Amino acid sequence: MSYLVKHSIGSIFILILSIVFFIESLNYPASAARLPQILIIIIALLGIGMYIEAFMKYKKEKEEISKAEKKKAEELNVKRVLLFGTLIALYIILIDVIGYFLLTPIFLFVALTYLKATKITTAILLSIVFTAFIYGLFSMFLNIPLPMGIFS
Amino acid sequence: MNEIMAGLVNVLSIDSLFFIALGMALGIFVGSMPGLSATMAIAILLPLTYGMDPANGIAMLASLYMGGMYGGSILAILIRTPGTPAAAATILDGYVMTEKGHAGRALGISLVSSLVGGVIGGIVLLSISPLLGQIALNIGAREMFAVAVLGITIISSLSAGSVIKGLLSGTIGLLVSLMGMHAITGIPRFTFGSVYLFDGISFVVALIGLFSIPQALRLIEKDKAVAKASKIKDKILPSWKEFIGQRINFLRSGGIGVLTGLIPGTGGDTASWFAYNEAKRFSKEKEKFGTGHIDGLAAPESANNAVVGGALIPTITLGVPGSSATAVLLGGLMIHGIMPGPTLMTEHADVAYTLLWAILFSSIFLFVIGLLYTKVAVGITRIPGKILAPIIILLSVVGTFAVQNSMVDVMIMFVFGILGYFMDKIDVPVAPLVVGLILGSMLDTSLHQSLLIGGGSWAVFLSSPVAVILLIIAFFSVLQSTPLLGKVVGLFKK
Repeated sequence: MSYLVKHSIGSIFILILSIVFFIESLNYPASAARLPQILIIIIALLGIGMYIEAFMKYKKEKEEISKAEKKKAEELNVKRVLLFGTLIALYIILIDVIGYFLLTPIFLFVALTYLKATKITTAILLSIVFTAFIYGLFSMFLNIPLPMGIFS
Repeated sequence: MNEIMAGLVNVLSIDSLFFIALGMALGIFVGSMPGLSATMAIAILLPLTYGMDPANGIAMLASLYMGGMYGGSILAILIRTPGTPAAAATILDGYVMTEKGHAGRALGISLVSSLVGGVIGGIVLLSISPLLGQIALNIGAREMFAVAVLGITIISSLSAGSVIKGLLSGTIGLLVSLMGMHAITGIPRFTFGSVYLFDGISFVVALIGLFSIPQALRLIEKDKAVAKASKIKDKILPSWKEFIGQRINFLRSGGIGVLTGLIPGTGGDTASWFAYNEAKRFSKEKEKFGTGHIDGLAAPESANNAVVGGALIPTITLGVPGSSATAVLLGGLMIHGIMPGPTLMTEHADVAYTLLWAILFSSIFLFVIGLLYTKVAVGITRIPGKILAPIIILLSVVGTFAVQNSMVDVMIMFVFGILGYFMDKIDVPVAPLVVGLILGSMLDTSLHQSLLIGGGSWAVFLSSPVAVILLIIAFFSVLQSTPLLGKVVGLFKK
C-alpha cells in the first residue's frame, strides 16, 4: 500500500472516531465533558496534521519513500498475516464455546503446521506440551481459572 | 528509614529472592530471543502476578526488565542483531570481539558492566526516591496537572519519529483512559451503552494486546533466515586488572545511564550511544574504538542497565513513567488495585521499598544467572520466531482471560493488538499511548480539583509558579521538535 494511502486511511479513521466521540460527549454535564472534548479536538487536529506531514514528506522525497515502501511490501507476507490473524480471532471466539482443553492443542498444531515452523511430529508434541504446561502454570500453580467451555 | 529497612527485610525473604531470580532468568531469556522484547514479556506475565503478593510480583517484573537489558546484548554480541534497541551500541565493539574469536570475553565484560551499571542505578534509586517521595507529597492539584501534561508531552516529543504522531498517540491514550464511569460525576463516558465498558478499559488488558499481538504478527510476516550464532570458546570472566581499569568508565557510563533514564522518552538506546561517545571522547586510545576495544563495550553496557534505576525514579515517586517498559511495570501494581501517583511511596511503602531493593538485588542475580545462561545462549538464539508466535498468542489470550475471567476482555485485548499492529505500520509510536493510559485519570482528577480551587477559571494555573514553569517546559518540549522554533530563532537572528 502506498505511503500516502496508508496515512490517509489513518487520518480518516481518526477523524471519524473523533466526530463519534465528540457527539457522544455532548450528552455529558460540563465537568465530565470538559477534558474529553479538549482531547478530542487535539486528536482531530493532530490527525489532520499527520496527513499534511505525510503529504509534505512524500512530495519532498517521493522516490526514496516509494522505494522503501516497495521493499517493505515485497518482504511482507500479507496473506500469512491475514490468515494467522483470522486463526487468532477464531481461537478467541471459539475458546468460550469449545473450551481451553480441546481448542488449545488444535490451535497450536494448526498454527505451527500452517506457519511451517517445525516438523509435524514436533508440532504435535509442542501443542500437547504447551497446553499442559500453561494449564499447570495457571490452574494448579497459580489458581487462576481458564475458559472451560463444554468442560465446565 | 524504617521503611527502607522493612523493604530490605522483604526482599531478603525466600519467596522474594526466588521471584527475583525467576524474573531475571526469564528476562535474560526473552531479551536474548530475536524479535521478543522485555516489555512484551512483562505485559504477558502481568496476569501471573495477580496470584502473588504485590511486592513479589513487582519485584519479579522489575528484575525481568533488568534481565532483558543484558539479554539483548547477548544477541548483539553473538549474532550482530541487537535483541533490544538499547543493545545497538554494543555491536560496535562487542561483535568485533566475537569475530576475533573472543565471544566469551565480550560476554563476560558485558555481564560485569551490566552488573556495575545495575548496581549504580539501584543505589541512586534507593537514595533519591525516598527524598523525592517526601517532596512529591507536597504537590498540589495544579502542580500535578502540570506534571501530567509535562509527562505526556515529553514522551511524545522525544519518542522516535514525528512529534505529531507521538502527540497523537499520547492524546489517544489519555482519551481511552477516560472511558468508563467518571469518578467525580458518576456519568459513564464513552461506553456507548455497553455494560462491559462501565469500568473502563483495563490497563493491563490494553497492554497485553498492544505488546503481544503486534509482536507475534511481526514474527511471522517475513521469511527471515535464522542467523547463526558464533560458538563461545574462550574464558568468560575478565581479570581483576581489567575490571579495575574500567572503574572510571563504569562510573561515568553508569551516571549517564541514570540521568538519561530520569528523562521521560529517553531510555536505554539513547543512554548507551551517549555513554559510548563520551567514553570515546575521554579515551586516550580513540582509534581503538570499533576494533573490539573493552572500553567501547563496557560503556554502553553499564549505561543501559543503569537506566533501569534512573527510569524508575519518576515512575515510583510521581507515578509518571517515562517509557513503555516502566509504564508496563506500573501495570504490575495496578493489577493489585494500587494506583500509581505521588502517594505511592507513603501509602504503599512496603511495596515501593521492596521494589527499590529488588532492583539492587536483581543486578546480583543478573551476574550469577547471566554467567550460567551464557553457556546455553548459543542454542537458544536458534529457536525460530514461527514457533514463538502461536505460543505468545496462547499466553496473551489465557493471561487476559485470567485478569477478570472475562471473554470480553480478551476481545478488547485483540482489538488493541490490531490497533498496535497498524500503528506500527504507519510509524506511530506505542509508548506515548501507554503512558497516556496511565496519566489520563491523574490529569482528569487534578484538572477537576484545580478548577474547583479557581472557581472554574483556567487562570488558576497561573497562581502556582511551579505549575507555570512545568507547563512552559511542556510547551517548549513540543516546540523544540517542530520546525517552528527554528524559524522563530531565525527571526531574532536577523
